[in-house]
Amino acid sequence: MFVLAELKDNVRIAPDQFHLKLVDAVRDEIDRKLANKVLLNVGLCIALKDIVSLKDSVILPGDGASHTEVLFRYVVFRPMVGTVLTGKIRNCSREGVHVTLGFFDDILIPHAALQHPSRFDEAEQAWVWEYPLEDGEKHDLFMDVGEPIKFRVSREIFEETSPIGPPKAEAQAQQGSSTSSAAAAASAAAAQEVKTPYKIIGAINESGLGVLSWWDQQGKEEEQDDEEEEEYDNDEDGEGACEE
Amino acid sequence: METINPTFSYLTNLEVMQILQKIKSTKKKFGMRNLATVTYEALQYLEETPCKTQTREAIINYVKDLSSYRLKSHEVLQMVNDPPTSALHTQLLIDDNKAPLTDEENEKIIQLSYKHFHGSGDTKQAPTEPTARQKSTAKSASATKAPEAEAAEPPATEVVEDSASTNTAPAEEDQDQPETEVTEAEPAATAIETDETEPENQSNK
Repeated sequence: MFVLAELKDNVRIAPDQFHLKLVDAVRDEIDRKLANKVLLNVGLCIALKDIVSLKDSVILPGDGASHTEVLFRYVVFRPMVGTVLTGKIRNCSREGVHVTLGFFDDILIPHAALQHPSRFDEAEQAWVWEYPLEDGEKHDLFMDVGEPIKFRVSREIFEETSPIGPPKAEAQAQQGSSTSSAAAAASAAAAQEVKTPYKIIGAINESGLGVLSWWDQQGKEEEQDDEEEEEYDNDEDGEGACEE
Repeated sequence: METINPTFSYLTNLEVMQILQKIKSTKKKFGMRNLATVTYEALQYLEETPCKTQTREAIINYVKDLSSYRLKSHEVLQMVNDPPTSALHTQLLIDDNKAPLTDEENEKIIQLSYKHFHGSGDTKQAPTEPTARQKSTAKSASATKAPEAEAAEPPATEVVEDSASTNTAPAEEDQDQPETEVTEAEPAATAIETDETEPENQSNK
């Protein structure tokens, strides 16, 4: 789920860092600029892997700092569409299940991509998979906060989040057209819609995906009837207990 | 900032973990809060994945063994990052629409996961072997299949707890288990300690 991205940038080193080795100073500057930030169409930048090449450092008139063009490789988080990831459930809302990976939070599994008969329980604020048993009854499998969940990446959405223009002009242009309620609220409150620069849309509508305890092989011997922690296994291949 | 190549190469979770661990041990400068945050959080995540126990050699051997299965490189990468431990798991990672995997191949792939990354999700089954006496029951537990192993484990742990509580209790437990060497020594031990051990035995049993 991590890739190496090759990037090129002009790095400015302030004079107070001239005592450092150029390589170290450049490394720190690049990390300061990129770590934990999303680059459009690249992904979430984690850390610098190595510097490929440095051009000559120049000093521009009017600025005492040195400017160096650097070609470097950066560790970026960007799972390929179709990979299977394991995360934790952050919370559930009407739109679906929000999953987090610790260092990356904006993963949504929309309700359409949940296991087939699922319903949203308002009281518990959780999605529930109504697993149909053979005798016609339904077995409720809750998706609780903090549970580890396996999902497949179905889409990645990059959005431009740099400031576009003054909010007033935007509001006047949009008041006439029928836009989403968020935009209408924005014009009223002069607040801007929060855009996430990098969103991942996941899916769990395949056998083997979903909360890990649903497909736990070791759960075969210990089937508990607790309300929240249900260990239900689905042995579609008919292989029986695997040797573990 | 110019992007020369957004996907220059793919990285396994192990490699990323090693890079981050190196960074964590060296840098502690001011103004690098973002780097520290993302490094810490990413390490937290990675240390809960199977890559924590992997080594470069194990991965190289695993990939070599997998080369006989006509897998695509992204499938191999996913399998390295999350070695399949069940048939269902393998089917999730491998797209077998065009050339479906037979059950045998599936089983072999799972065996490979265990061979190279032993201990992948296996910690629950680790038999308890604290003392020589328990080894006979523990060995039989690990050799048999999962259901029987789990059944044998509770009695093994009970015996462990008893032996841990008192020093003289093991002398008594030897009588229960069919080990001739210890029973021969038994009469000598009991001769010395009869008065002290008896009340304790009654409380244990």
